[in-house]
Amino acid sequence: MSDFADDDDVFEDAQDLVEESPADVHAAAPVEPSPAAPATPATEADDEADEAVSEVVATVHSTPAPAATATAQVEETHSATVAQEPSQPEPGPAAVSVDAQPAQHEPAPSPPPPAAAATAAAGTSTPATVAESNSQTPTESIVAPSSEPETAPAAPKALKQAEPVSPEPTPTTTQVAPTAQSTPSTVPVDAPELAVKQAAPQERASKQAEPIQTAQNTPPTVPVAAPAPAPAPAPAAASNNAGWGSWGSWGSVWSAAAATVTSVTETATNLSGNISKITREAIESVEGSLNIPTPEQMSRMAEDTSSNSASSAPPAATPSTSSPAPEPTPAKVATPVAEQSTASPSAASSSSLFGGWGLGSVLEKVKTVVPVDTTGLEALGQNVMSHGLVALETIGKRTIDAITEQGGEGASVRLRVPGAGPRPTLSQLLRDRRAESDGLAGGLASAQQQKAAALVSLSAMLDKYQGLVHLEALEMLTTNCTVKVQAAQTGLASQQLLEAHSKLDRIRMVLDLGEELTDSSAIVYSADKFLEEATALIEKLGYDRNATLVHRLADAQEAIFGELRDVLDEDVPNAVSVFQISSLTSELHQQTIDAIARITSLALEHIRKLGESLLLQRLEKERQVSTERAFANAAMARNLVALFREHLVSAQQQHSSGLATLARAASEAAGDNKDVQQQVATVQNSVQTEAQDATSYLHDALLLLVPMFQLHITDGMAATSPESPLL
Amino acid sequence: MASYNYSYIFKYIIIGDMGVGKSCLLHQFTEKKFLPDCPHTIGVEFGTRIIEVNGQKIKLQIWDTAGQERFRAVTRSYYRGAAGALMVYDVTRRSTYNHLSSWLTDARNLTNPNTTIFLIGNKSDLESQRDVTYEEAKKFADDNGLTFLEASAKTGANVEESFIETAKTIFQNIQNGSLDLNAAESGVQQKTQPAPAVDLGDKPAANSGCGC
Repeated sequence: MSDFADDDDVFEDAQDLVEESPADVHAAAPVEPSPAAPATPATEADDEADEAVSEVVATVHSTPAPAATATAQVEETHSATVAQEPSQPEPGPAAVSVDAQPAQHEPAPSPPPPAAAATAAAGTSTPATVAESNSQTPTESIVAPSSEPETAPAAPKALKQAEPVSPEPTPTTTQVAPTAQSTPSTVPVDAPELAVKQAAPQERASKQAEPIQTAQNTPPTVPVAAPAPAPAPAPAAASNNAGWGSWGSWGSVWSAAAATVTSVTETATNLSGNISKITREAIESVEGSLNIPTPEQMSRMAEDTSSNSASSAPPAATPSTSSPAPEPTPAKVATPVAEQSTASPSAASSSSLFGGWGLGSVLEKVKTVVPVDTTGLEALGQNVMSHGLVALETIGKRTIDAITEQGGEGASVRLRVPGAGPRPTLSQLLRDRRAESDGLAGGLASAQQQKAAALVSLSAMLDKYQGLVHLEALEMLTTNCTVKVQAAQTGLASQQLLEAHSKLDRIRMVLDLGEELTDSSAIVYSADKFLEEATALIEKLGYDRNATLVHRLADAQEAIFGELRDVLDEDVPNAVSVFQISSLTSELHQQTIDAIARITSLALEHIRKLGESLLLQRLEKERQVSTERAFANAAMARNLVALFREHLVSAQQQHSSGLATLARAASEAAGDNKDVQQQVATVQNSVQTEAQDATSYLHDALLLLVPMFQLHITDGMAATSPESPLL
Repeated sequence: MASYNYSYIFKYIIIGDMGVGKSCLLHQFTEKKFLPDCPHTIGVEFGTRIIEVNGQKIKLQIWDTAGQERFRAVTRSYYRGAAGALMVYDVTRRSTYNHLSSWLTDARNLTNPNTTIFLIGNKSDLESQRDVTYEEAKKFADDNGLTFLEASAKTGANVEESFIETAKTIFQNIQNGSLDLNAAESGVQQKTQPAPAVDLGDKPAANSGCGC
C-alpha cells in the first residue's frame, strides 16, 4: 500500500519534471508505457538469444508504432497535455496516479470498455485468473513465450523480472526503456515502472498474433464510433487517447483498458464481489467472440469507415505487422494523430472496436460499475498485488498440469515416483488378452470349437500352465523390492549414491537379453544339451535345492518333443489328402502353442523362484552376496533365460518345419483348393507371432529381477557405509 | 474340462505354520488325493480349481505359501489382492495354534479389509493326538470374526467345504456390494461372460404356454 502511495508521489514528481522542462519531455516519453514495455521482453531476450530478439521485436512492433507516436506526440504537444501524459499510461495495470484517474473516468463510457476488453483479450489466451489479476507480472511472463515460440528463453527472464517490478522501479526496467526507445536514459524513475505496467496489456495483445493485426487494422473504425457517448473529456485525456488511437486502436484500447482496469479495480473496493464477476464476464464474452474477426474482415471494416485516423492508422498498422523495422513509419504517422486531439475518436474507437467483437454488452456492464472513487486507491493496490500472486500461483499450477498431462518428460518423471499412477503389469495385460480370446471363443457355437479356440490362444495356455500366476507373483516381489532399493539408497552417502547408481544401472544391462537370436536358424536343437546347461546354471544359482524344477523341466521336455517327434516323423510325411493336411495343421498348431506356453511358463516359474531365492539369500546373513557375486549371478540368470528362449525358439522351429512340409503337401494335393494352403499359411504366421510374444515375455520377466539384484548391491554398499547398517 | 468357462476368478492364499498340511489340503482339494510325503513348499506354489457357487462358475486361483519362518518375508509379498485367506493350524500341535494370532495379523494387514479369512484346523483325523480342542478354536474364530472348520487333508473331510464356504462368503460379499469388484485389490476378477450362443430352433421357451 505504502508503495503505491509513494508511487503517486513519484509520479507527481515526474509530472512536475515534465512540466518544468519541455526539453525533458523527450526523456519523459519513455514514460509512455506502451513503447517501453514492449521493449522489455525484447531487451531481455537480447542477452539470451539474438534471433529471439528480432522475433520479439517484430512482434512487439505492434507497439513500436505507438511508442514513436507517443514520443512525437509529446514533442509536439508538450503543454498541459504533456503534463498529463505520463499519468495516462499509468492507469494501465496499476492505475496508480491520482491525476490520471479522473481524466480517464470522465470519458468513462468509452474507455472502461476497452479496459475490460484488454483484460478479456488477455483472458482469451491465458487463464482467466491471469486476466483478472491484471498484474504485470503474470502478463509479462505470459507474453514473452506467446509472442513467438523462439522467444522462449526470454520468457523465464521476463518472469523473474516481473516479480520485482511491482511498485518500485527496478534496474531492469530502466535499462529496458532506453534500449527500446533508443533515447537518453534520463527517464524518470517511475517511468520504467509505468512502462512495465503498461506493457502488460500490450504484451497480452501481442500474444495473440491475429488479434493484434486486427486491432491495428481497426483504427479506421474510429470515426464511426465517434458519435459514441464521449462526454467532453478533459483535453488532456483527449490528447492521450488520440495518441494511443493513432497507433492502432489497440493504443486506445490499452489506454482505455488501463483506465477501466483502474476503475474496475477501484470498484472492487466498493463492490468487491462485482469485480471478479465483471472481469469474468468480460473474459467470457471475449473468449466467445475474440476468434471472430479475421484480419481481412477487420480491414474491410476499416475501409468502410474513413477519417483522419483512418488514413493515418493503416500505414502504421501495415509496417508494424509485416516489417521488422517499422519505427520510422509510425513516427511519421504519429504527428497527424497527435494533432487530431479529440477525446471522442479514441474513446469511440475503442468502444466500437470492441463492439465489433461483440463486447458491447460487456462494456456496458463495466460502464455501469464504474463510479469514480479515488479513495479506493490503496485498496486497489492491495488488490493488484494479491491478484498478481493469485495469477502467479495459477500459472505455476497450470504449468505443472501441462507438464504432467502432456506426457513426455513429465510423464517419465511421474512414472519414476513410486506408486504414482497405475501401470498395467505384464500379467495384467496377458490376463486381459486371455479374456479377449475367451470372448472370441464364446462367440463360437459349440463347446468343442470353444475348446479348440482356447487351445490355440497363447495367453490361455500360459494360464493353463500357471505361467501367468508365476509372472504375477514375480511382479509382486519386484514391486516390494523396488521400494526397498529406493529406501536403501537413502541410507547411502552421496558419493556412494553415485557409485550405486552406476552399479544399479549396470545390473539392468547385464540382465538384458538383447536380440541375440537374429539368426535363429543357427540353433541346433539338442534336448540333452539344453537340460545339461540349464541344470548347471540352476545349481549355481542355487534356487532349486530340491531339484524339483529340474525334474519338471525334463518331464516337460519329453512331453513337448516326444509327441512332436511322432507327428513329424510319421504323420506329416504321410499326409497327402487335403483333409489330412488340414487336420494335421490344426494339430501342429495346437502343439506348437502348447509347447511355447509350456516352456514359457516353466521359464517364468524359474525366474520367479530365482527372484524368491535372491530375496532369501539376502535375508540369510551368512549367505550375504558380494557385489561381484551379484553381477555374476545376474549374468547366469541372463544365460539361463537365454537358454529357455533358445529352447522355445527351437521348439517353434521344429513345428514350423512340419508346417512347411504340410504346406508343400498342400500345394501338391490341394490343386485349386486354396483353403488348405491358406490355413497352413495362417498357422505358420500365427505360430511365428506367438513365439515372438513368448520370447518378449521372457525378456520382460527377466528384467523384473533387476530390483532383486540391485538389493544385493545396495546391501553390499550399505555394509561398507559408515552411515547406515543393513537396511 | 472346460477350463476357459467361468465367470469369476478368486485369489486364495493359504497360510499357517510349517507342516500343518497346507499343501496337502490344496492337493486334496485340487486333485482329490492325499499326498503323504509332501515336500516343503519353497516360496509359493499354485493350484487352481473351478467350482460352482449359486450357479456361477468360479475359478479359484490358490496360492499355497511356504510355512517356514525363513520364507515369511517373501510370502508376505503374496498376500496382496487375495479375496480369501485360508489360515491353517494343526490340531495335534498347539504351537501352530498359538501362532495363529501372528498369521492373522499378517492376513489383516496385508490384504484388503474385505478379504474373507477362514480358519482350518487340519489333521482332524488324528483325534487321539489332539492338542487343541474344537471349542477353544471355535471361540478364537468367533472372537476374530472368522469362519471355522476342522478338516482332514488325509480323509478329505471338510476340505471341499472349507474352500467352497470361503467362496460362498466372497460371492455373498460381491452380491451385497461389500466387496467392490472394481477395487484394485479385491482379489476377484470378473470375466466378461460371452453371451451364450442360443440356438432358437432347439427348444421352445420353457414357460411360454400357460395362459391362465
